[in-house]
Amino acid sequence: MLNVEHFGRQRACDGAEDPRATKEGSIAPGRARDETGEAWEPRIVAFLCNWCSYAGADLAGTSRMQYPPNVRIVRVPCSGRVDPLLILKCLQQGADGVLVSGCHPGDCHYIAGNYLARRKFALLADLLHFVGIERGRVHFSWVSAAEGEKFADVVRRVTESVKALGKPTRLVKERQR
Amino acid sequence: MLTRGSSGRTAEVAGRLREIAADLLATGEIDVFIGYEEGTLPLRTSPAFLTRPDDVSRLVWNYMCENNLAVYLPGLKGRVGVVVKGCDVRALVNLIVERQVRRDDVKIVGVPCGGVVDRRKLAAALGEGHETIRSAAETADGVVVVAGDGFEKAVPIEDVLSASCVACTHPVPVVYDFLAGDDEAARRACPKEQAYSDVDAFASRGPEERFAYFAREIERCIECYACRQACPLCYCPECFVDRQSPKWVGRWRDLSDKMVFHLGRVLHTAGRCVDCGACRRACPAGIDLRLLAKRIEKDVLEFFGHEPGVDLTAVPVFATYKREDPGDFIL
Repeated sequence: MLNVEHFGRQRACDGAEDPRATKEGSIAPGRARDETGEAWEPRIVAFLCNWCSYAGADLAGTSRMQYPPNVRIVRVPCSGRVDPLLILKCLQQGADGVLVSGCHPGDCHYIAGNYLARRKFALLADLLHFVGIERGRVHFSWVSAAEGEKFADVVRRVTESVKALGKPTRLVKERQR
Repeated sequence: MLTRGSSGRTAEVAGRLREIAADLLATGEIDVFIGYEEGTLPLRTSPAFLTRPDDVSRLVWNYMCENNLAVYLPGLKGRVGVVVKGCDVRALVNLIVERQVRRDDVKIVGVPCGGVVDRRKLAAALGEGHETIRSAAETADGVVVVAGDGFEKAVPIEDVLSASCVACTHPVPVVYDFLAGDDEAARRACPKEQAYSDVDAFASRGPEERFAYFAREIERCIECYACRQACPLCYCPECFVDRQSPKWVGRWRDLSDKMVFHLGRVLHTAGRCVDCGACRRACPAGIDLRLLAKRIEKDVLEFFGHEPGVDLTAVPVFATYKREDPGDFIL
């Protein structure tokens, strides 16, 4: 069972002295700044399905495509496995953005997992928007195992969108801010 | 003595209910009949569980029969007769569709519904200083006379109806074995285009304002989970808020935890919620629980063309899909 609190703990522990913070900052172009003017790089949780998007991300990596290092990838068996609660929990525990990616319609390893996921995500996306949480925080994509370039592009777009929004203030647990 | 009589149409319905209940219990077709009886306070009714035909005189019907009795059906053993309003029966249809209740085990006694009174609205209509109500009685069709310490006031029921009733699209039960009362006696169904007017009004506000309202409402939540207990569709053996591993919802009265609970709950009842208003009535903090649920209800109708609880042969909305479901939001 995926421990949803793990992400939050990790984030709560590592602060400015985390060596990765500087390393990441130097790689990513156009560093965003938080309200105190400090450099800020968003952390985005990406739930990738084992059969398509995870392989797509792997292809992007083995092909040495450059994309922002802001995503933290969680491999899931199917996009249908991603309970909307997982997404809410990520946002609450301090993720700046969430990406869920699965197989293209018709390509699901489990026949219809992505179709069922699409229904859930359509409602979740609208509900978050309805209660005033920015649309640009949570993204969904279809990326096949052959689409390394698309995966890199999706990550670029998602990272830009989250950077444009800045640090989240809504739904975030107090101690995570 | 508190007088809480009903008059005209409602008295007729009560009489029919007693007849039906007595008949079903006497013939042994059911083991228990679930209806409403007088509560211990004015403007209250209690669920009544009757097992003997002699008990049926306890049954009442009036504008305070607000509980959704379908909540008692999942897991109930034996055959049951149950009194349902237009909304309650839709919850029951959901339970049958989700195989929590067997259609053959339940005798559905529908009542064409005139709506139920929202006690908070009534308190507002009575005004300050009129909190202590000694008696309430329906004197004529659609008028309740409320009397308390030093005041007596006639209130038209139409003015104090629950918001769910105002937006009700199915006042007459869609499925029933017996119908107590005349279709004509039911409230006029709210036109579909007006059913979501309050949701649309909220959606037209800015995101900051929407979030501020959401936060203000949810902040009052004391995490008693009465909304869950009152909901006929919340029958999970273990609710996600009660799980310890993974722990979805913390126990530190944190606003974000409360938000996760309410967003999670509304997503769990998505495509199933029939807006019976049970959660809202159960909420001791008076949180506007209807808003999110109603938005989801609208989405489910718009996106997937699904209306919950109107069709016994329906497939639950998340157990199926269509190729042409909306997907524009996907990169």
